Amino acid sequence: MDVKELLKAVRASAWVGWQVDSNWTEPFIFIGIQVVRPLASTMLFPLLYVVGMRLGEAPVDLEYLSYLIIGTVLFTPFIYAAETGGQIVSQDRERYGVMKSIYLSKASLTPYLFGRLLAELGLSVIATAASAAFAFTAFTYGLGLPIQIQLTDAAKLAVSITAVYTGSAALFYLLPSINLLTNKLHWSLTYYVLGFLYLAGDVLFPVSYLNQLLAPLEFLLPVNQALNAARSALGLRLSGDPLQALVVSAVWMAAGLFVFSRAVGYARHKGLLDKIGWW
Amino acid sequence: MITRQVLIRNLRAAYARAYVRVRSQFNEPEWVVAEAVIPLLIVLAAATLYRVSGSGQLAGFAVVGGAMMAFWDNVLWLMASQLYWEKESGNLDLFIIAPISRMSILLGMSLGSIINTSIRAAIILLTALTILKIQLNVADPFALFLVFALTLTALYGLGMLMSSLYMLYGRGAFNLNDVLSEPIYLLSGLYFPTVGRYSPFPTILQVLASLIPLTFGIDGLRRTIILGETLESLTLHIAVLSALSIVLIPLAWRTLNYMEKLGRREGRLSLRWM
Repeated sequence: MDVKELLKAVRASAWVGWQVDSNWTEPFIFIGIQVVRPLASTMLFPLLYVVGMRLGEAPVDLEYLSYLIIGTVLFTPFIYAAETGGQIVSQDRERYGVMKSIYLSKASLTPYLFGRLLAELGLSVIATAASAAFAFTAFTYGLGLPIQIQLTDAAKLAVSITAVYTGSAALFYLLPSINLLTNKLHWSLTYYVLGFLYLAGDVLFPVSYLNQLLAPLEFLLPVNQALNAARSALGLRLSGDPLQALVVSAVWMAAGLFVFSRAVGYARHKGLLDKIGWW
Repeated sequence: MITRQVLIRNLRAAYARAYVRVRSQFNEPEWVVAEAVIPLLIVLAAATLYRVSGSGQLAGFAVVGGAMMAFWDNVLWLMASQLYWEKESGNLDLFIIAPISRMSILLGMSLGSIINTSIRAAIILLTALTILKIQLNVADPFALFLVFALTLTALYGLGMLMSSLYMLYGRGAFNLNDVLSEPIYLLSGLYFPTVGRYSPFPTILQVLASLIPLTFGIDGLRRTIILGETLESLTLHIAVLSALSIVLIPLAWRTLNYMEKLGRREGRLSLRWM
């Protein structure tokens, strides 16, 4: 497959991804799924913290509130990657029957998934930006809790956000790899992974709070370093190295691509690309 | 006029639908595990957040919400969408032909779902209470039972209503479920109170949130299970949940009849892949 054909395949896949995932032709559904829903996820835990402090009649720690908001806003790309990546295989194998068509065509699943990834990244950028703007406005002006965010280093923030998106892209390749080999996890895998990352990904609190033995996860998972580096770039007193975060995410991305290519090879060999049902 | 024979036939239909739902759970134990473990992970995260912020005594709030989350997910995905799925699989045609009320099918679906989901909710509740070492403080078991029963009645009434509405809609039903899931988690106060003096929401949002049976249900359960309140302090909760039950179930019935007639007129009852 030459470069021109490869680009054509990626562009067509990205267009399919945009149409399937965005529901752009139905504005109510589009706004509901791409703006309101991620916004609710973003607001849930910071509001829990604020209400908890009010119930305990204790003052809200604005720095910790900012920690939570940055964490939940920048976790949005991971949610998007896990939800879309976790459903692609079951949708395309079971519901739309796309897998066997790609098997027969000159294109392979790798450029197809890359195109879908581009669409997913585009959508998650919209959701993340909308959530960030709304959360900042709602807490600062609506609840009178000024978010303490100050851009201290734009380059550091840019590298941190690149690490966030690279880490989310790794998830986007890893989950379909597993789902190619079994149909029993097509719904649950996404939420197992997201639930685990909420606990261990430094999204809401440092993972070391759960148990000191878990502290090394901060340097192993693709989420923790990226979020902490972004928090540091936005003025919070945290040590976060964006380059280190980018390296961790890049390693996960390479692992994701490797595992995906092996999973595709195995699925082709075993005839799993059109195997439907509960297996 | 409903004769004894018709009544028995409809009760048998409801039992049959409930039986299928309960039995299927034991054929696919992976679902029981997934639907218990996934909310549990989020409950642990929310409870830990309460503890990190020094409000550890409120961790039980998150546990009660997490257990009730199982019911909301069940209402969305296994009640609201069910008649649409039945249409896709061809069963809806059979339900329409059968000499039974479609409400008996919805009743059976609800009862089966309540049994299944109660098992999952109990797993979530007991596991989270054990891991987090949370003490229960139930001072009035009758109040607890009443609030729980009314919450489920109103919630599954909403499920029946949504199921009737979704019957004629295709892919839109899935999208609507996607749109509703997280905002309802937030508005209904799954992990923190969203109505009353500690709510972070403006009054208008609190009023809207009160229309979701889960909101007053979870708040009432928290008060009876964690804060040890009794029936006297829960009159508003009981009134709201009773009113929602009285409105939602007859409304579901009327909507189902209307949607069925509309579907027959437009020939859409057995149309698939919409």
